[in-house]
Amino acid sequence: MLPPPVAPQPTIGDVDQALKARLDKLAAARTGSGRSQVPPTARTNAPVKKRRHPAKHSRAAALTLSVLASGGLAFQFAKSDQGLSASPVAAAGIVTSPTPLATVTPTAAVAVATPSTQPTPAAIAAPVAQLPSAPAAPVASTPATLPAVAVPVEVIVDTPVTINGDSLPTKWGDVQVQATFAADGTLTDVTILQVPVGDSKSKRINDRAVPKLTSEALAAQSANIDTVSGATYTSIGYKKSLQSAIDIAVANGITTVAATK
Amino acid sequence: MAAITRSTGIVAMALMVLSLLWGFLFSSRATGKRLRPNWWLDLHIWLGGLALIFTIVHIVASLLDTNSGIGLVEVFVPRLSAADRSITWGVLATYITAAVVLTTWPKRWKNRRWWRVVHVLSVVGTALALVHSYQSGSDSTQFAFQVGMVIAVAVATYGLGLRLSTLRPQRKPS
Repeated sequence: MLPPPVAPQPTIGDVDQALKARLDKLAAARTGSGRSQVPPTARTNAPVKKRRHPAKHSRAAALTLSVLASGGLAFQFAKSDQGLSASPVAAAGIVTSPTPLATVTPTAAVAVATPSTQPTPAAIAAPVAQLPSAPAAPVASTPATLPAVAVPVEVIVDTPVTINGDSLPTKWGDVQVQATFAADGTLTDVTILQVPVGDSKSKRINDRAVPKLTSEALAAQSANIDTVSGATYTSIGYKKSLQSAIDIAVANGITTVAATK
Repeated sequence: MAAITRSTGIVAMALMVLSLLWGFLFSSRATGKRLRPNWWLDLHIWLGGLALIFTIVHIVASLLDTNSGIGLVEVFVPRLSAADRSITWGVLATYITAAVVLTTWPKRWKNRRWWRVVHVLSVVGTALALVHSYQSGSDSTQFAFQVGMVIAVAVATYGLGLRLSTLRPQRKPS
């Protein structure tokens, strides 16, 4: 009877070779270069579908929401800015209609220049609610009870004229401008009489915004100018106050070029 | 154009805060079991990229707005004068956001420590963006905006606290 076949036993040299190969493979894998030694088919039998963007739907939702949010906010901001611009000044208790120079109330400072050596701009105060040195009581409610002061128009037509616009109360404080018209009716200067500077933020915003508004107004020769970003309330108050000064100038024949609203 | 500037700025800020929160949740392993970590990471990266895109739109809109008084110098050069300081915070926040987002795209950094330093700067960038949005603009005084600011700060602080509470001491290299 023949003995059963015996499987060939690995020799010591064979074991060393296998162990050496395994150690080499581990060392190569640790250094990062061993991946290429293993064929892809040996790693897995089933093909793995790689998900490039696991949050694909959430990404789309985030993008959609962001675009919708910024579009909606932009629409809302534009609408509110228009609403603020279109709101009547009378809602704040201030006279809106241009008042002829002949009916300026005595509470408003009237200073008609008397040129001595050279022509000086004449200051004609509009019927404003609050001048820098005037009491805070609104004039709009009492103009009928006050006696009117006659101002001769012919005194001012040949000289530069300065007109105070309405004082516009905004959320952060009053805004009032003073417009200067040359003898030919050109808007030559706009000076700020009141602007919110009570806190450092308002001062910083208005220091930046007012020069831009003035240069825009002088270039456009009207109050029909754009709102300065970041200074929405000041811009709206500035435009309304300037428009009221222009309205007074137009009503009294001082200017015609700045009549557009 | 001013309305677009304002709206895109607000949305960019919200996206930055959300991206920061997502990153904190992911890195502190507080993502739960329902959604896989790679989902959180993917959305975190996407939110950061979106924040940068909306920031760029915000900048371009402010440049196109002729009354904003913001030119190329104001956009690219941080200035320290009192009138420009609020814009300066926005400029710095933009640089930091751009650095964080752009350094995320390379898949593997040889020096991960530098990537981590740049990435942690996103906390500073978000804080600067919040200060910028509060200091410049008419919206910072609106009640709804202030409520949003409080929520944003609370969310960012929660994420930061969560991350700091899960920090582990670094192992010394053997």
